Amino acid sequence: MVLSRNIFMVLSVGILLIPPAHAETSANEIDDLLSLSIEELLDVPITSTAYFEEDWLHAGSTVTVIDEKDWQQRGARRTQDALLNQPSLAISSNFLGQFSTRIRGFSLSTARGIETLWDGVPISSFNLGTADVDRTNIQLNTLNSIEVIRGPGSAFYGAGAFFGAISLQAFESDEDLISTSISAATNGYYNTSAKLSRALDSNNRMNIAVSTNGQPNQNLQYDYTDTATGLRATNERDYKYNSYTLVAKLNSSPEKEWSYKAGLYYDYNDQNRFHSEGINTATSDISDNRSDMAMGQFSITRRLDAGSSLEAQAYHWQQVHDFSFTQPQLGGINADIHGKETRSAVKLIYRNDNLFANTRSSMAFSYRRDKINEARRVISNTAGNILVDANLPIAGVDRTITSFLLDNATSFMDDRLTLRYGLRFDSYSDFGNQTTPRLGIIYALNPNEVVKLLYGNAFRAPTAIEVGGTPFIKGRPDIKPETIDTYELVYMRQTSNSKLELVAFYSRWEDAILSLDTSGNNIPDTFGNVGDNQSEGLEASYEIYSGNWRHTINASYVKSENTSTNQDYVAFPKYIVNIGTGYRFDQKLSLYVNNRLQFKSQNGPGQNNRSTTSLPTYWRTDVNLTRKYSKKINLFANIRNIFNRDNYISSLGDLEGGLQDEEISLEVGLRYSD
Amino acid sequence: MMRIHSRTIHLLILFFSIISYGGISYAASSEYDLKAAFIEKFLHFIKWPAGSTAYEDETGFTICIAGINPFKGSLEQAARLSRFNNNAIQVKQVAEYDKITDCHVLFISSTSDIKLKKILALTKGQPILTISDSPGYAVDGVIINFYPRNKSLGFEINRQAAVAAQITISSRLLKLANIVEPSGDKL
Repeated sequence: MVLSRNIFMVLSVGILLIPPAHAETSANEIDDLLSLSIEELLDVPITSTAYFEEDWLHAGSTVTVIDEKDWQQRGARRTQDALLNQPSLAISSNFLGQFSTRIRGFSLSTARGIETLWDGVPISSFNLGTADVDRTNIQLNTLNSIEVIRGPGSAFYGAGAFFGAISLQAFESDEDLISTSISAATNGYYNTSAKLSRALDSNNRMNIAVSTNGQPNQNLQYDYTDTATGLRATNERDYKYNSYTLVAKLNSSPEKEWSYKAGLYYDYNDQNRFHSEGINTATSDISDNRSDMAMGQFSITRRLDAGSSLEAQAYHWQQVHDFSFTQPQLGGINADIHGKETRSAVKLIYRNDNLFANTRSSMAFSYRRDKINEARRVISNTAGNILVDANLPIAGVDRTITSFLLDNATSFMDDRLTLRYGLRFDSYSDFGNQTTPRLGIIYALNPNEVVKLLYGNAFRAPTAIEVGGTPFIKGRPDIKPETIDTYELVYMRQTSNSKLELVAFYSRWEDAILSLDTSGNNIPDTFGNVGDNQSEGLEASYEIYSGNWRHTINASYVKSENTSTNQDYVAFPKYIVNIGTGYRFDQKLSLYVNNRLQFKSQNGPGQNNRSTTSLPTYWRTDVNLTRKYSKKINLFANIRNIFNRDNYISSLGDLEGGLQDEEISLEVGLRYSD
Repeated sequence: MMRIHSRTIHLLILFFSIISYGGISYAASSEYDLKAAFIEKFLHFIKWPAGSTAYEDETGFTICIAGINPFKGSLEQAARLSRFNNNAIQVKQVAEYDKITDCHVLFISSTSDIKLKKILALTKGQPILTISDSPGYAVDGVIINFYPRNKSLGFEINRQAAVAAQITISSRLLKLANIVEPSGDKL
C-alpha cells in the first residue's frame, strides 16, 4: 500500500513537472526539422493521427511498435532480441531450451499467458500455452514489425493474451521491391534472407520473404553443483541451431469493393544441446528440440459503404515438436517427447467507422478448434533400452471455442474525449462461458498530449497439460480458469520528432494456475489454482530525433508477488533500463549504441521454497555501424556485448546461477534493396 | 477487494487531476511541422524563371495558403528561420483567388478540393510552385503533392505542370520524388 502511494506520488509529480506541449515547442521542433537534409526528412516518421490505422496516442492498450529499422540498429538476430528494448519486458531461460518472454513480472516456471500472433493468428500452443518454442525462431527478416502489448489483451486477442501479447506482422509492401541480406559473425552465426514484392496486375500483389539463420557449436561452459557429490563441476552446452522461415502472401487492393488476402507460412527450427530442465541441475542438463509449424490463412473483405466493411477469415495451422532430454531426477534416463497439434478457425468481422454518433465499432464472431493430435513419450535408459513407449494423457484432447467480440470507440467534445469500451464472450466446450470486459477513457489535452485511464479484465483457460497433466505433474480436470484485472494510468506526448510515455499499472491475478509441490520434496507434482497475486509498477519511455542524433531511453520498476504466500516473483528484474544513442555522421555513415541494464533479479522463480540467489547486474552494450555505399547497398557491422561482460539471465527452470548470456561477437553483413 | 478499490480511486483522482491541468490550447500538428520543413527545403531545389518577382528585393518571397491553414504556425515559424535569395519569406493566407498570382509558392489546402479547378486555372502559366497534400492533386495539375509513405511522408511531382509554370526542379529533388503524369482530361 505504501509502495502504491509512492508510485502514484512519483507519477503525479513527474507529470506535473512536464511542460505542456503547447505552441512554443513547435519552434524547437521546426528548428530541428530544418537542420535535417531533405533525404533525412523522408525518414522522419509522421506522428499525425491521419496516417495511422491505430494511432499510438489513442490506442486502447499500452502498445509499442518495433520496426525493422529499430531492430537492425540494435543488431537483433532473433525475434527475442528485437523485443529486448522494452520496459517491463524480460527474457528468461525456460525448460527444454526455450526462452520465455515475461511482461510486468509474474516470472513463473509455467511461462504461459502471453499470446503470440503471426499476421493476426494466435499461435500459442494448446499444449504448452506459449509460442516460446516457435516464436524465437520466426526469422526477423521475414517481418515488417512487431507490436508488443503490455497488459491484458484478452478482450481483443483471446484468452492467451493474459499478461500481454506479441504481434508479428509478416513482410508485405505496397511498392515493388527486391531485397536480400547476408551476414556472418565471429561465433559462427550466419543469416541470409530475400524479400520480393511485385504487382501482378493493377489489382493483385505478391509478397514473398524467406530467411535462414543459425550457429554452430558454441562450447559454452556452465557450472553446477553435482547432486551426487555436492561438489562444483563444469559441463558444456552446444547452443547449436539452424532455422528458417518462409512467408508467401497474395493480396488484392483494399480500395476495391471486394478484396482478399491469402498467406502461407512455414517455420522450422532444429536446436541441439541447449539447456534443459534446470531443476536439480546435473551434468546432463541438456536438451534437443526440433519443431516446425505450417500455417495457411485466407480472408475476403466486402466494402459495404463508406467506412463499413464485412470480412470473413479462416486459418489453419499445425505445429510439430520433438524434444529430447535427459532427466537427472530419474537417474539420467533419456526422454523423447513428440507432440503434434492443430488449430482451425473461422471468423466474421464487421467494422463501421461511424456506426452511430461518432462511434467506431468492430464486431466479430469466431469459431475455433484446438486439438492435440499426437503426444507420445519414449523413455530409455543410459544403455539405450526402451523402458516406456506410450501416449501422454493429453493425446487426443480437443477444445472448441465460440466467441463474440465487440470493440467500440466513441468520441466526444470534438474528438477530445474518447471512450473505448468492449467485451469478449467466449463459450468453451470444456469450461463453459466467460465474459471479458475492457474500458478506456482517453482525454486529449491537446493534439500532441493524451492521458488515459485503462481497465482490462482477462482470463486464461487451463492448457491441455494443466488439465491432463505431464508424466511428472498431475493434471486436474476440475481446475478453474484464472483471471486478472489490470488498471493503467497513462500519459503520452508526441511531437514531430519525439515521443514520451509514462505508465503506472496495477494488476491483480486471482485463482492463479501454478504447479505445486504437494509432496514436500521441493519438486512440483500437481497443477492447481493457488491464491492471489499482484503486480504494480511504473514505466517511462522517451524517444527523440534531434539533428543527426537519435536518443531512446526507457525504464521500468516492477514488483510482482504472490500475496497468498508473500513470495516475490524474484526472477523478473525489479528495474530495467534501456538506453540507445544513434548518430548519423553524414548521409552514408551512422552509429548506434544500445545499452540494456537489468537490476535486482534472482536466478530462478524460487517457487515451492527453493532457494534462489541474486544475479549480478546485467549490462550489455551492443554497437551497430552502418555504411551506405549506394542507394541500394548497405554494409553493416554489429558488435554484441562489446565489453564482454559476464551477464546472466534468470531461469524459470531454476538453472543454478542463471543462464549465461552470450559473449562478445562481431557480425558483418550486407543488405541490398532495389 | 479494498486494495483494488483504493488504487482505482487513486487512479481516478490522478486522471482527473491531469485533465484539469491540461486546459491547453491546441498546438501545431506534428504532421504539418514536417510538411512545413519540407516546403522550406523545396525552396533550395527550385528555380523560378529569370525576371520572376521571387528574386526581387522589394516584394520579398511569398508563400500563400489557399483554404484553411492547417499548419497552425509551423509554416510561419519555418519561414522566419529561413531566407530566400537573402530576402525574408512571408506566409499569408489567401481568401480571394485574385490574390493568388502574387504568390511564389501556393499551398492548396485539402479543404479547397472543390475549388481546385478554379485555382489551377488561375495559376496556369504563372511561375507559382503549387503544393498540396490531397490524393490525386498532382495528377490533376498540382506540381508537388505530399502523400503518406509507410509511416513517413513522401511527395510526388508533376513535371509537366512544373514546365508549364516555367519552374525548374533540381534533379536531386526529382530523384527523391514519385513522378506522376497528368491526367490530361480533368482540367
